[in-house]
Amino acid sequence: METQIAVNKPAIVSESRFREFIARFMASSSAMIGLCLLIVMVFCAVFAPVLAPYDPYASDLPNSLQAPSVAHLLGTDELGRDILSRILYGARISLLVGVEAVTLALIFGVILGAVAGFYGGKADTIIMGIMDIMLSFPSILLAIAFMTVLGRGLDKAVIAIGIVSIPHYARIVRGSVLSVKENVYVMAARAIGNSDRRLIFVHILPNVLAPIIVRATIGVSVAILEAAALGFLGLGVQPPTAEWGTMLGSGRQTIFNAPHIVTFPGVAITITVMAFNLLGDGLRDVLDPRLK
Amino acid sequence: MGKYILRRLLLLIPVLFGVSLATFVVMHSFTTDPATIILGEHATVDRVEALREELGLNKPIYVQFSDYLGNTLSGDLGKSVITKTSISAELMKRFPATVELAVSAVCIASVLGLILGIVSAVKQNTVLDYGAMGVALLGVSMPIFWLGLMMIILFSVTLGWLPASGRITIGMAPDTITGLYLLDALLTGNMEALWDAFRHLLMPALALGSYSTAIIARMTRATMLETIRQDYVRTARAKGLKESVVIVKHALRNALIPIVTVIGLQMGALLGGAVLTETVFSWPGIGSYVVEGIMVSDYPRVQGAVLLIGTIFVMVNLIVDILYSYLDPRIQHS
Repeated sequence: METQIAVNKPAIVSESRFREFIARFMASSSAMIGLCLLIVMVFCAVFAPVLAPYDPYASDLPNSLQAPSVAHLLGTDELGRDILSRILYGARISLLVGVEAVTLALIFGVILGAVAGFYGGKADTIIMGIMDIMLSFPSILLAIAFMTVLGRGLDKAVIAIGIVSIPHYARIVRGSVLSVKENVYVMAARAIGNSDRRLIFVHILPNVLAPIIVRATIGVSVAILEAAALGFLGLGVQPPTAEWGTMLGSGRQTIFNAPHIVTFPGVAITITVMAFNLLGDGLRDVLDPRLK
Repeated sequence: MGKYILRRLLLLIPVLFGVSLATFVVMHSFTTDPATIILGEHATVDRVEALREELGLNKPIYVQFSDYLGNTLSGDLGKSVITKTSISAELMKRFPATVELAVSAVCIASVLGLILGIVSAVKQNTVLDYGAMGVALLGVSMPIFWLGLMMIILFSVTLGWLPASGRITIGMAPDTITGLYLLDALLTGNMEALWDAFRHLLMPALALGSYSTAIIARMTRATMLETIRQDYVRTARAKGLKESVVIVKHALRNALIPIVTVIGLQMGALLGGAVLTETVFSWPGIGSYVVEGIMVSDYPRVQGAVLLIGTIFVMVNLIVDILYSYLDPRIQHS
């Protein structure tokens, strides 16, 4: 009987922790507003083919540069394409770039930070030295430099933004690993013969997840802003793909006679970035109140 | 303190070497030959070879890096492959424009950020607090280049109050002393140029400073909320001091160190934002020089400008670190 209770205990603790997390999350207005906004954006992205009133790539030159009207709720661009449809399809690209770039940065950042923090010594000096040099450049400038090297396009924008974000994650993970690795449970796990890899991935990383999750959520907003900036400069996603930054870049030419072209894609970027920022702020308060 | 500064200055050598190496490695990792990119795919082999010779691309990579490092140390960043002009000279000419923009943006962001943060903290959980933090949230969420475009639509296209681009009206530039138009116009007493330069600067500086305003406002609120709950603030109130004196002299003064640090760090971050703001407002600084260089595949130009911005970024962060330890004597440096 006692054995049965002992076996079930961790499951009960884990379940109550999850319930506590959900209760605190739902009590955070910041997190809830962010989540609701994000759900709306994801819904728009997933159901863009259903929601979009027109083909986002279909030119209609006689109707170019039309102001918002009943036929075209957000107006048309220089080629007569419906801006609302392009913004809906653009949500797919922006969310995809944000999540993919952060995933890339997370994979490398977590591994590099964990190795540097866990092993220390030369590995730490070399890895963090490279990370510090990368942090010596404003990230958007470094992303621009990488785009110059990699060439233009969606996948290359993801790689460039992902690479410049790696040092941020590596730093956070290294710091957290350094503080956790001296804990008694890690020493106990080492004493019973666990390998280094198991120590890092099973015993240490799950205990440093909170700051990583918070940074990754806010990191998506930064990645979306950087992708839009690259698109605006003509370095990111290439026309005619419906991407918000690219739409702003091409709409800039007609700003004096059709300002609506640059207005709405910017609103879409702001709302999406705000959603991730609110969610990140809320998660920070919920997961680690000390970070507030 | 002296030892700490000396140590930090010595540490600058490997960091700047790393910055140079990183710039060189990134710019030389072209999957396609730079000479082919510059001349186009249809260029003859002879022309490509001649350009490769001119750019020194036929030499072994370590020789290229050593040449590049030697030239950089002597202040020579090479020549633009398009205009054939000296990159160092062009960067020096454009440097004051970027400095003027970034410094103005930091000043605007500091004033606005402090006001928003103080109001928000003092009136915690009121409409004013929510409003101020809402503005800050917008500041970190809006792309600065989009904010710039919106300002042009409102203040230039619709209202016609401010010029949409450039640094000063042609023919109105003041005599050059520092290269900073506002300062030069003041020093030479040219009020017409001062007003014109100010009107050109206002929108780019506001747009560039928007993100920093938000960061400074958030930091000010957080630190002010901590200090206004301290005993010495309660004591100041109990003594019957005016609320404004309590807030400014007792609470804000003690909250300033982290705020000043954030302001300093924003100065470096603004250099990145300048690339976008200068492009939107056709501001003739280093940022627009980089973007123009990328558009015409002028890679020595991009390399030179990226190296310069990276170096300034490192120097600014170093100055902030040193100032931080100077402002807060509790920080010990072993």
